[in-house]
Amino acid sequence: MTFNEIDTLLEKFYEGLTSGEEEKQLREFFLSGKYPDYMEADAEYFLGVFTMSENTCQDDDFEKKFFERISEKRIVKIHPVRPRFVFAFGIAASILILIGLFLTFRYEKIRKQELQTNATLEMTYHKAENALLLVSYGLNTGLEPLSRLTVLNKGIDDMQRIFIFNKYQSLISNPDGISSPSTNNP
Amino acid sequence: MDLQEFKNKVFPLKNRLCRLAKQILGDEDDACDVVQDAFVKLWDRREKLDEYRSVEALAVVMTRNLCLDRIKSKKHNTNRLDNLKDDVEEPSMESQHDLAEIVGKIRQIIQTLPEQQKSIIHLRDIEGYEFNEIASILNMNENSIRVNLSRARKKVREYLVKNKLYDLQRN
Repeated sequence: MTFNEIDTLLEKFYEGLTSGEEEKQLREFFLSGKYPDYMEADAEYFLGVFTMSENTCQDDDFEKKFFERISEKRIVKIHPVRPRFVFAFGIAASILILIGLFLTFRYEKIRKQELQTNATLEMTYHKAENALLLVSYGLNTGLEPLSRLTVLNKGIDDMQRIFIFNKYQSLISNPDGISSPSTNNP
Repeated sequence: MDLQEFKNKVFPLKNRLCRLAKQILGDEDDACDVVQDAFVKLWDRREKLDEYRSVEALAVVMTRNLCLDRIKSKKHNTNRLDNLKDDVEEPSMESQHDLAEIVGKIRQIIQTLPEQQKSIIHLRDIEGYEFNEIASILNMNENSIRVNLSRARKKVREYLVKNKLYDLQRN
């Protein structure tokens, strides 16, 4: 390959238009070391990238580290609870305990209040009951004189019957004398 | 996919992925860590790996994304080309053009490129992927890839030429 051809290829190369095969030709040309001085920068480029393409990973324990890491992952899968979740669970548990204690104390307080209220209600009930009993007793006492009126009414009825009896008796004993029972009232 | 199949299909990608990660992150240890992470992620998805058209492309995408995440999280010192200018234009007095130095120089220049160009130049010139593969990995069309590749190659060459001229002037 002539230098002119190489120049043409280089021009294409720097325009990004060369094929893989053409780039291989250029690489072989420069790696041969037979190039003119004005191509020294290009030669450095090809020599440099070729050397870089031959570089290998310098970490000798690469595979060992990889297997260690995937083993760790397996252990994590067996024990899926991670430390940060344990921490979160701890906080959640503490909050639940606090809520439980709060509710227990609150329930006790409410229960005491209810008991007090019940006692008050019971007392009120008894007082009301006593009051009603008193009213009832008073009422019964108030009705007692009225029973005497019944006796009085009965007496009046009896007396009317006596007047009627007397009237008819006087009519029988004095048939000419006409007088109304009302005028003969004592 | 069982462990044996995983070893056969994924483990051979180790060096390629390490190179990519190193190119993006600029640090060997970080690169190895990222590739470890990528491998573990692939292992986690081992049941679904057969559904992918190319496990290699998936591995490359994962590695690249992990590298970018790491850069974001660490706020890596991603010096741009302007910051590198001084290093390139004023090389050490006893500059030697041995292979390690050339590689270091190219790596340093690539490191300063925008992320997309960096990935494209690495995947094409170092890993030798075809354009359609790069398009699939980076979710771009082939034309855009060629344009970005051209820009990246020209930038690297520009600095190599400048460096060469500087050396000549010094000598």
